[in-house]
Amino acid sequence: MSSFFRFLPGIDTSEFHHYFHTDLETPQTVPWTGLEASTRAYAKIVDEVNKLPLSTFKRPEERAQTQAVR
Amino acid sequence: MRTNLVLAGALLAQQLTFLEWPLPPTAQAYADIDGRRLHTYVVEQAAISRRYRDQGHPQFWGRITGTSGDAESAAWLAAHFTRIGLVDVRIQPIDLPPQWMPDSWTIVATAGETTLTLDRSAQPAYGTPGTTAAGLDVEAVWAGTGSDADFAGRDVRGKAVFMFSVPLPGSMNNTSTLEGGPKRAEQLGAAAVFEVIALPGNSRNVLYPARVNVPVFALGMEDGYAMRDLLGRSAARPPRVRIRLDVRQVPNEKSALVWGTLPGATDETIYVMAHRDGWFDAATDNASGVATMIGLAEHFAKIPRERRRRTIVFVGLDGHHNDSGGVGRMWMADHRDQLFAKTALAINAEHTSTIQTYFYGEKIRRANAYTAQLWYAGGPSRPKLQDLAVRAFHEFGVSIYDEPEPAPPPGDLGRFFRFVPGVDAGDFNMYFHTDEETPDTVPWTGLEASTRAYARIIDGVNELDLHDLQRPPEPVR
Repeated sequence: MSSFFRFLPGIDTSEFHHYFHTDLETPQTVPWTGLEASTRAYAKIVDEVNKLPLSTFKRPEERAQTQAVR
Repeated sequence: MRTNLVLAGALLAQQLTFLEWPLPPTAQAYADIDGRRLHTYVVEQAAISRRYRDQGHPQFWGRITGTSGDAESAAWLAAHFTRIGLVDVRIQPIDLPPQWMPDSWTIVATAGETTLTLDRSAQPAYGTPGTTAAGLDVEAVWAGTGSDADFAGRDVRGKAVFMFSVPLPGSMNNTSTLEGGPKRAEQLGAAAVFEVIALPGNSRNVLYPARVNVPVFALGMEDGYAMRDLLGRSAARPPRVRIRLDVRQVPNEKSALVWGTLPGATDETIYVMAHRDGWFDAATDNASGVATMIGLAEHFAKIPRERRRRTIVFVGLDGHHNDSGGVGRMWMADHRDQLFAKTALAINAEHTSTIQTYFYGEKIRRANAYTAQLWYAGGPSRPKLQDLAVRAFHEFGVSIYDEPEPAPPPGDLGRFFRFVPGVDAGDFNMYFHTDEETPDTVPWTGLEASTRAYARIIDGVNELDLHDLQRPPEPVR
């Protein structure tokens, strides 16, 4: 998202946990409940965005560097 | 009162954002347990701490056992018990052994033109010896993480030794103490030890006793990094540190057990206990637990006596944030035959809500959720109790660690669980035992979830007979 957010209305949620980038980052460290909650929330956001015109979200491109690219 | 209002107002805006666990349709009987109301009890207890601080105790403050803050906390809790309609409300005085009391301290480091006032965050570890009135004026030395490797080839004799320490978590435990850093420094002749607690910011941390005979202090990370960098810049002529710590052992102080009873249909009992003491605001540890205890008293007081199978006894413990081992709980354990012969359950309400935080870079970031909790529910010999506790935690959204603890989490139930069926869920958060453990680190949502779950557990236990719960005393392992 960091490559796009200056010219696109973007949404991104995430977390870097203890197992991040380790060989312990296995499927069992991904709760299905979190997948369900996040995915349902994103679906709701898509539906709500679809009720609004583009003008609600489109903005001139931002200039400042505010977040490092991962 | 004004302090309360300001605190409450400042916290309200943030607390509106916490994720809430919907009350299941099957649990409407617990709707009256309102986390926002419970949180006001956390704020009230923090105000007791702050009054004590503002009455001439700006460095070592809180609801300190044996002090006027302790007495105010006892009177406050007894007033709530009376308001709720409990009977036999009483404050039972207990004698304390001499209490460690650091009256004041100053820590100043200098190198060339640079002066660091380290007592912005420096806090003596509990029980640490003081200095003479003249204090110490010694050279500083950096000792890494306090390991043998860090001390190898380093002369620390007569010096103030600074070491880096990872909290495990908060200042409940820390790596340098666990790995023997202060002891190692003492054996090598150090004059004082500073453990830099790696919590982003500059919090004051009260450490548990390091059991060494030289002054030991915790230091906030900003001050610790400033000192490390000063040492790094001053290798040719190391900084000197002036250390003065005035400590007394205060005899003849008293604390109290605060009792209130809600009579039931039988003389069988359920105990709900929570310790009242703590350092600084002590919002999680243990204003949260006391708030939960009050919430349970309020809830069950509304239920007709004939529908309460067992008598519920509420106890505000004196606490254990001293070197006395918890005098009140020891008194209760010594009177176990009198108190617990017909006890079906003891709930220890301790750290019942604490905010979820994360390290993100060198910052502490807060989430809009409460942490998962360490938990114990009677152990494997009481499967019915464990099962109903797990179901209650799940029903009300109390997130828990993946497995129960083999014994209760560190705290007061440890004194009772071998002879009483006990339940305890709590967590040690990043702010634990620091001056940042303020009421806004206690989500009202967590208070609500934990307290409703405990109420459900009491109701569930009241459907079981004593023989489902009582077991022969477990041996001390």
